[in-house]
Amino acid sequence: MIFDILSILLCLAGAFFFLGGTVGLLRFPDNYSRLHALTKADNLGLGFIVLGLVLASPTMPEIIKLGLIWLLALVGSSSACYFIGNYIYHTPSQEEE
Amino acid sequence: MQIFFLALACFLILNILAGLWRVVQGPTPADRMVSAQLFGTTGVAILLVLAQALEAPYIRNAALLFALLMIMAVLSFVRKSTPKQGQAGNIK
Amino acid sequence: MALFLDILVAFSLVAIAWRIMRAPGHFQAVVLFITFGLLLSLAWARLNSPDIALAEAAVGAGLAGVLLLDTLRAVAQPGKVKTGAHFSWLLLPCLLLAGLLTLSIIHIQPDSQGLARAVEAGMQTTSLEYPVTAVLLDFRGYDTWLELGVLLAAVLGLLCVRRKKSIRAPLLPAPAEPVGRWLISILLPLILLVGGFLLWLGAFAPGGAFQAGVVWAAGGVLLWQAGHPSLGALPVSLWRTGAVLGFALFWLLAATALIRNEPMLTHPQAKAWILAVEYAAALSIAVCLTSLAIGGQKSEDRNQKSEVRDQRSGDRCQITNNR
Repeated sequence: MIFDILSILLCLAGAFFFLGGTVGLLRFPDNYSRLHALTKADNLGLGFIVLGLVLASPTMPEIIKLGLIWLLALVGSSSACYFIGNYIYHTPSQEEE
Repeated sequence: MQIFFLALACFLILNILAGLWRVVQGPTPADRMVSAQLFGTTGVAILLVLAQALEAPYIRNAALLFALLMIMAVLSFVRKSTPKQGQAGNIK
Repeated sequence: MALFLDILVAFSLVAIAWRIMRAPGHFQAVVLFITFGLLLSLAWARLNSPDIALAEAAVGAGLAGVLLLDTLRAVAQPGKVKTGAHFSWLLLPCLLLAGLLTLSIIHIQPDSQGLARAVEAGMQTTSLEYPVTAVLLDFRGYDTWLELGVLLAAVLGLLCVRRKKSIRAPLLPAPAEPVGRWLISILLPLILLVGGFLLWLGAFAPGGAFQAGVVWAAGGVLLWQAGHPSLGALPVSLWRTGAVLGFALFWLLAATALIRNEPMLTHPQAKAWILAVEYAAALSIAVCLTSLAIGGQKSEDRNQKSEVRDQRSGDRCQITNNR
């Protein structure tokens, strides 16, 4: 029971960060700050949801897989952030395609 | 518990739908790519939550694939936009 | 709540598909298509078919985006396009087709099991435990065989169109990009591992040759994208053998059955044999898809590209020097 409540709370925290990421994506004024919004959702949003699911899911291998997925998402999103940021920085005119 | 997870999945899908506004508005390709990356992470979260809600553990493997491969499109995008034909001419 | 989720997914799929067709720019359409693949994978997961969800996830995330973005670069004029103007005559056939599909859906019995019962009955005669894999490799092996043939034909066609002898396309020069190298060193072992895991899983659970092949192909494309020279260092004969292996094993199977006067593609019912065919098929799918993804690149602008790259790295050096 206590685990259920904790799990729900953690998932809600994750959902809050995803909401924050989306609002940031929509409302922030330029590319760089939108990148910032993206990484918050990746790190914390997915992190909290994974934590919440870990509390709800029973077996050890599944917990390890959930952790691996989170780490992979971290690796992917941080390097994607670097690549896109680098691209924006080195492309002088942001052309409308 | 199951209803909570389904509601969470719905909420995350609504997030994606809201974020589509940025894809439609742009203004630059980089913005659209950033949105795609955010959708990818949200999709991973939705798949994980769905795996829990529907009690179908194999859906987690799909989430694993997305987490593993979402970077590919960004790599292609960055590579795509580096050489501009006109600029290449100027360099010569 | 489940109903709400279904309606939401279905609505978003249709809305995004509509927007893809009406999008004013190509790039926007590509990004929307990537999102569409994501939601499609969700839909398959919700429909309780994890095999297709896996395949959609692998193709949608790993290959489709790369292929579309590369195509976009190859298209000469990525300017604005007029959408919908030329295709209004398609409206009537589309409506007709939609009507026919709706009619066929109405005619499905609500409690219909489809072919599930037939497959269940056949499961005793096969040595595989998972029905989907049994259908793909045993009951309807010729489907998989011809699928491999289609992939092989696509690669051959690409070679003809591009007038190349080797499948491997222009390899980009290795970038002086520390993050790219770091990314390869982390992701590539994991991609190999996950592909092998899916292949192993296919014998008794959702997974299998196609998903594993696509994941490995994504690994190959990743190597190429990051400018790693290892794909170019492989001997061409090895590459060719890999591309043909799956098709050839199926062919061998058919030929031996013909000689032994049995119906075509009858397996010797040994699990090891079926798994060998599956593993060879996965390898061939990986090699073919990698060749398709990187073999279609234009080789003419290779020099330009490297020049631009040099120039840009020069810029970067200058910046650091100035600092």
